[in-house]
Amino acid sequence: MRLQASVTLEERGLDAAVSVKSGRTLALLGPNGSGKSSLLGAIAGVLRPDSGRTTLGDEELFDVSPGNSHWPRPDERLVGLLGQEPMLFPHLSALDNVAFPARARGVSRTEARREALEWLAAVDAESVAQSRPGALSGGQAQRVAIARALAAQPELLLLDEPLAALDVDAAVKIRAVLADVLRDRTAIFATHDVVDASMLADDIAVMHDGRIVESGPTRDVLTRPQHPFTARMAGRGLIRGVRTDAGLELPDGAVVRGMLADDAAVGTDALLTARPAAVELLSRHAGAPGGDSNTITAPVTNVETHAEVLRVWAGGLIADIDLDAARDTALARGDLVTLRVDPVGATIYSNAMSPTSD
Amino acid sequence: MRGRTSGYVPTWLPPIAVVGALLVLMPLIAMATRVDWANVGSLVTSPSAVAALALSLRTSVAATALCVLLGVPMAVVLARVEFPLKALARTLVLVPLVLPPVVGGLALLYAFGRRGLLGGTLNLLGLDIAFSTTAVVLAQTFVALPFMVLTLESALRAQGSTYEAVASTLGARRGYTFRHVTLPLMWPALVAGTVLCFARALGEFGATITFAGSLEGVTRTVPLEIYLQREVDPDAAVALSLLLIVVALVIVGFAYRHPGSRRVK
Repeated sequence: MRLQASVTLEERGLDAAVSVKSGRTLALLGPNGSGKSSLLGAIAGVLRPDSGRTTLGDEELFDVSPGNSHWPRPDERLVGLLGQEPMLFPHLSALDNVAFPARARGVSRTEARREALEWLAAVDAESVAQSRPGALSGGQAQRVAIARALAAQPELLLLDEPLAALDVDAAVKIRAVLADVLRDRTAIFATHDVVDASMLADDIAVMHDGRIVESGPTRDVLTRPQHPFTARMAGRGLIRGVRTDAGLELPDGAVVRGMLADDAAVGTDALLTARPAAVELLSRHAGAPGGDSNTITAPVTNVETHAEVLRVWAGGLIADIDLDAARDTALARGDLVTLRVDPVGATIYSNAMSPTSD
Repeated sequence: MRGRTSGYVPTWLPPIAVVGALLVLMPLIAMATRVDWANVGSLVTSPSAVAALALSLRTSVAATALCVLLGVPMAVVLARVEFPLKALARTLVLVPLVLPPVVGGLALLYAFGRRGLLGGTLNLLGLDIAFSTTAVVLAQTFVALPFMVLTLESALRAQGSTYEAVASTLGARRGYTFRHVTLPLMWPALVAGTVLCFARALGEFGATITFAGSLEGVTRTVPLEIYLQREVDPDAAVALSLLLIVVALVIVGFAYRHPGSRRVK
């Protein structure tokens, strides 16, 4: 069933609208504190927004506006919410946790437990059925929580950073479980991790300061970001300019060549994106670039260590330099640098300006 | 001694703690020296003692049950429902805790006594509460109820309502969630509160003697019997006191060992 939700909550700076097509998974991608949890909480019914309306299929989940208040309790909605913490009921065994939704619906204990075992099997956790939540590892507990959320048979499943509290090993396994669970299911998956988004979601909506800045199919959003914030989340450089025959003309007149992704007209607004791997930092003090060097010269805007490399932002592009080289150059913000872009690793495409929302 | 301290406690502090402990222990020790050990058995099984014990048990159990019945909803409302003048309501609920019990007894008399606020109405219904066993139960409930409300409310607050929210998103209605999530999670606090209420009810004196009087077999509970025998037969009074002390020790041991044993994450 198709979900359409719009929610405002002033206290958390939230003013966002998302839609999820039936059977698809939307990743809500944004850093911590960008409003993802609040948006999910409102849809699930555990956090009342200032205003907003959400429909699931033909059914109205809620409609809160001046002079109108349709705000059903969470148990009156067919929406499941899985959080960062499993929040298993500590007084019930894993099996009875999963049987809880059926029991609450009035299903007999025997039948509810039989169903619960099936749900546990679906997430490969039958072996812990009799365990108390306190005896489970983080990964096991999250499996049980997933089974319990599914046992409620929600029409819409909301997942709020379900992998964030897990160690790396467990996260890999649970990600595989979720990939299986989310297939053909209408779901929203909130995450700050671009890897989770790219592996689990059909579509992505990028959230920044309580607003959706960009949305679309996962591949498009991550490989051809429209918004600088999306590029940052995706770990890509992004520069704006105007389309020319050869590539992208920057405001200062320099032209950067790249692969043309569409056949937009010369003179239209365009974007160039490149992975750090396709960008080389040539020197601190830029000499005049040669005619065909495909370089830009810009001041460093940010420097941070990133795994075993020093990641340098300049002019919208990102370049990685290894730490040995970094020690010699001692880069700082504001230093002027020259970056060479590998034309094969750079993509040029239209600047859609207004983020598409569907 | 020194090797056992954690190193963060100032040296002048433990001696003061010992003085405090002595203040509590000395009277108990003193009382133990006065017990007529040879005759304790017969002293606590005299007809008047047995009548007082039986009455105390019956009324304390009834009062404790009332505290559970009334205290659970009160604690849940105070912890989970927002309403106007809530701070005032919480203060009022705790009044019996700081009120001298004899004042509480007087207040009960003016509310439920024959000429009290509700006395006329109750009279019409054929009920005469003051100076009856019912009055004993009411007095005990009055003084014990705050213990239940306090214990449960702080437990509910500490626990938060996250589990209830989870239950709700799993489709559980409020009643089901209360019975199958809230109650089980507050169970340790409920046990502790029940034990405290029972102890307070068992020891009730001031409100009982003011509101219920001291009629053997009807309103004369163990504390009243002790007070009476103090002049007439000090040995009997001491023997009964010893009994109450033992009961108190058992109860305190029970109440403070159990709640922590089931840790909720």
